[in-house]
Amino acid sequence: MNFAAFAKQRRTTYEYSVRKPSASVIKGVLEVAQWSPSCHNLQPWTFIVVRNKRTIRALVDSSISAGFVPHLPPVVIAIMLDEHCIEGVNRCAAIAADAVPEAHICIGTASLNICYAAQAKGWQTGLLSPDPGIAAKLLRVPRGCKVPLLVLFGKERKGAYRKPRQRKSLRDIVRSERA
Amino acid sequence: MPADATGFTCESVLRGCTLLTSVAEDYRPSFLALASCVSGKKVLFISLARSPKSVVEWLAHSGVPSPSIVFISSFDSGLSRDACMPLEEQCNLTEISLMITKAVGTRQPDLVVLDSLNVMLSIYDETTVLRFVQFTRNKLALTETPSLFVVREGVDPAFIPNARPFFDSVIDGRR
Repeated sequence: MNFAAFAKQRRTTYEYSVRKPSASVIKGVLEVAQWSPSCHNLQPWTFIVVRNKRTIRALVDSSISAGFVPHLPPVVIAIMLDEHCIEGVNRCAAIAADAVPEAHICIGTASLNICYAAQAKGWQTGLLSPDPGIAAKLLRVPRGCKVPLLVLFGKERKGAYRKPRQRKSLRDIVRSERA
Repeated sequence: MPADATGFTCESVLRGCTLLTSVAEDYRPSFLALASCVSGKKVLFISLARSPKSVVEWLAHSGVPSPSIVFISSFDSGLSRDACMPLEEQCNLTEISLMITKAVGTRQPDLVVLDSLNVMLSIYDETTVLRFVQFTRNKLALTETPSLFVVREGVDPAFIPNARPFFDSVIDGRR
């Protein structure tokens, strides 16, 4: 399969079966995440692998910006951002106030690598933003760090709900530079 | 509106998250009181047990000035997409949840009504349904949108005491 077809196949999974990925599957996926691009090669992430059911439930339910997940994934990879990464000159944004949002982009690249690595291994994913306070407490996040993103990881449950996939047309999202 | 025999007031319904217990069929006085509360309001009505058309007819039959209702339902409503957002599945909690998010964002209702939890309980276990209630409640709290969940007779009698902590108030509409 070419990459375009592979990327188009990726979808959010909302309902997971109880099947658990092995430690080697998770390790393989995280090795791909490890090589994600980041500003100044800061690699401002730490990947927290969550397998405790109660913790997963609390994390997922704190994420009320997305849809309800009735059947929880067996694993969540919480991506922790070290906000100290914006200190000093090694940051992407010239203005310090813009640097934290810039650092979040690095979290995005890592999560995308996780999603694609999972898909390549036949596993499914979903992305959720947890409540930062709840995530910090549950995952004992150190001061100066936060968890902006969760990657739900597992096998799609049979008969799971699939949100219709819609994309804006290229005509709506692409424009040419005007001199 | 003053409280009726069940302690029902519009003020209590139009604030926070309420559970209304009801008889299995038709609507009793508390539901009529609810109807008068919603008159003139924008209501998002998630109708899982009956068709939107029958709800509209019932409101008209009750002599309630027609509220502005947007439905979310899997029933063939015969209504326009503006008036009824169709569910692909009869009762998929993720789909309902995503629809609520969309409708609250675009329609900004004064009240969200979900009728009824019985349908959910016939498909999902009690823990999952109560997780959904809590999740929806927290989501609606972000926009300070009050919600009313209806549960009718026929569910496990233990459900109502188990569900009580998930709601700000419980109205017994079975009388």
